[in-house]
Amino acid sequence: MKTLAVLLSLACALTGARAASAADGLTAELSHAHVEITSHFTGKRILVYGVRSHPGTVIVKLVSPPEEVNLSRKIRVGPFWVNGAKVAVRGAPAIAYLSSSAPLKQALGARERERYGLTLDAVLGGASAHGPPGALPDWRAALLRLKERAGYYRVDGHGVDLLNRHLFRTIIDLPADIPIGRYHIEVYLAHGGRVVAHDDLRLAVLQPSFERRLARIAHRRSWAFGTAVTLLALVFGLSLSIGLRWFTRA
Amino acid sequence: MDIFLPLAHVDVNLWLILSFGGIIGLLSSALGVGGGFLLTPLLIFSGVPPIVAAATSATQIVGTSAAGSYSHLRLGNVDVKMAVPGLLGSWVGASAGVWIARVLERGGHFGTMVSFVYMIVLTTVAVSMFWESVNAMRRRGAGSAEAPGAATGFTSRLPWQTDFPVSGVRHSVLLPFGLGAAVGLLPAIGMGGGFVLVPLMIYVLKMPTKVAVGTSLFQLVFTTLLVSIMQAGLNHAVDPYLALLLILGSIFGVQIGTRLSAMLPAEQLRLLLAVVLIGVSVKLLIGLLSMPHFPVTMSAGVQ
Repeated sequence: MKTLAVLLSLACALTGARAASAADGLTAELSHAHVEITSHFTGKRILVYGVRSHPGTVIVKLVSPPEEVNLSRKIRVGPFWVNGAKVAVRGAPAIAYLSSSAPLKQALGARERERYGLTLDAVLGGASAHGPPGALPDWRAALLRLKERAGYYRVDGHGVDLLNRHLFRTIIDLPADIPIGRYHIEVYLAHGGRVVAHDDLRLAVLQPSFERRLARIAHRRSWAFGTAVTLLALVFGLSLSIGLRWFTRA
Repeated sequence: MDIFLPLAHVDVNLWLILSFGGIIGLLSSALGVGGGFLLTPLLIFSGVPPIVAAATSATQIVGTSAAGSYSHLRLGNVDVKMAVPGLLGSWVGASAGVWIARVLERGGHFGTMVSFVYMIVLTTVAVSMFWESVNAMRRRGAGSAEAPGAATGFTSRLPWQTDFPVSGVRHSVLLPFGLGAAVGLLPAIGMGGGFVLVPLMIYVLKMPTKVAVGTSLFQLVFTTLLVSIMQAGLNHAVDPYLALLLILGSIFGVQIGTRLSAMLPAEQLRLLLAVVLIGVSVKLLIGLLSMPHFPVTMSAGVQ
């Protein structure tokens, strides 16, 4: 059912997109303009599809809003491995995917890749580390490695399918714990070692779930929140055990 | 069925958390130990960040021990006069404990500290439980013949000597205050501290066992109440879903434990718990000794 709907929307979009593609060289579209994070959000599959007027490699880059993470180097103290000083990294996107129809290094030269920000290093361009000086000098490399291992950053040289001379598509699986905000999706067409066309898309991740609102209140009004939760725990525990005792006795 | 814990920022299995609560409730009713010292490591093993595990354990203790404390109060097992200086002391200790936790968490060392402290405490508790239950099984009905000794010279020279009629003892109010302050440090790392406070009340304050248990539990509710509020206020570490699920599980555990204790001798349960605690200590030790797969760890940042 789902695939049918996707194919239908693909066909619909294409009739409209064809005319524009002649001028731009590349037109892309998203299967969903926005994603709503409900309480039962377990991730979302997004389809990026479009047409290209020239032959060449299609590159799709998705970058989410930033989210702070903490890094800590394991250090050895005697026989024990303990956490070293904590370094907070701010400004690094929570999620970054670089998908292309052929490996990026084949499609574009190093300078061109850098110019268009088509490397994971470039994704960390706005990031900064805050912690004791010298605690983790190689935090960029460590962050990239950890993010890639957790699947939050991904480079896939065969992630974009070229369906025929014009059509392309790629599937992006967003995980469950993604930040809300505007996601930037850039689509490039590379030919002869240069970018010949590009298109920009926006994906809005909306509507924080009840849990996320709760977390925000817990941070912004922490004392009121703490008092409320603790008193709720007290009342809940008391009433539950009184109720249960009454129930078992009856 | 997995649920997302909004403050811990992790997915956990609903039934696993409910069963953790159940085990803790069962232990507290069948053996009279709070079980907080088992809950925090279990939560950490399930992927909950150490600071959230410790803070939410304190919240869970509030909910689980409130009812028990109330029935002790009604039965007259609470020495309120003794509990007041004890509680003031434990509030001082608890505030210090949460501040220490905050400093350690900011520096990224809280998890390591928790592993070390739990390893030491759990091993000590397990060894003493093992010893106790072996002794009890050997004696079987001989009755504990240890007569309380006379008050030592040092404590009788402290100022503000007061009569505590419910316990039938005379002490300086500084004594329960000091003990409360020392034991009050523990809830900041998720331990109730009843397993330390009850023996101290019996052997140092010479309180009758029943009154010691009741008064300790009464103090515990209000100590963990403050710790829970402070942990949320300062460290943003109390997860509401986790707390309520643990309380729900533990209240049912208490009901099962009450029935179970009528069927199974406490010594055997104690022995079983000692084995479990040793297992948890060993797992913590392995975690500290084994080489990490990757030398840097990543955790969700606090906004």
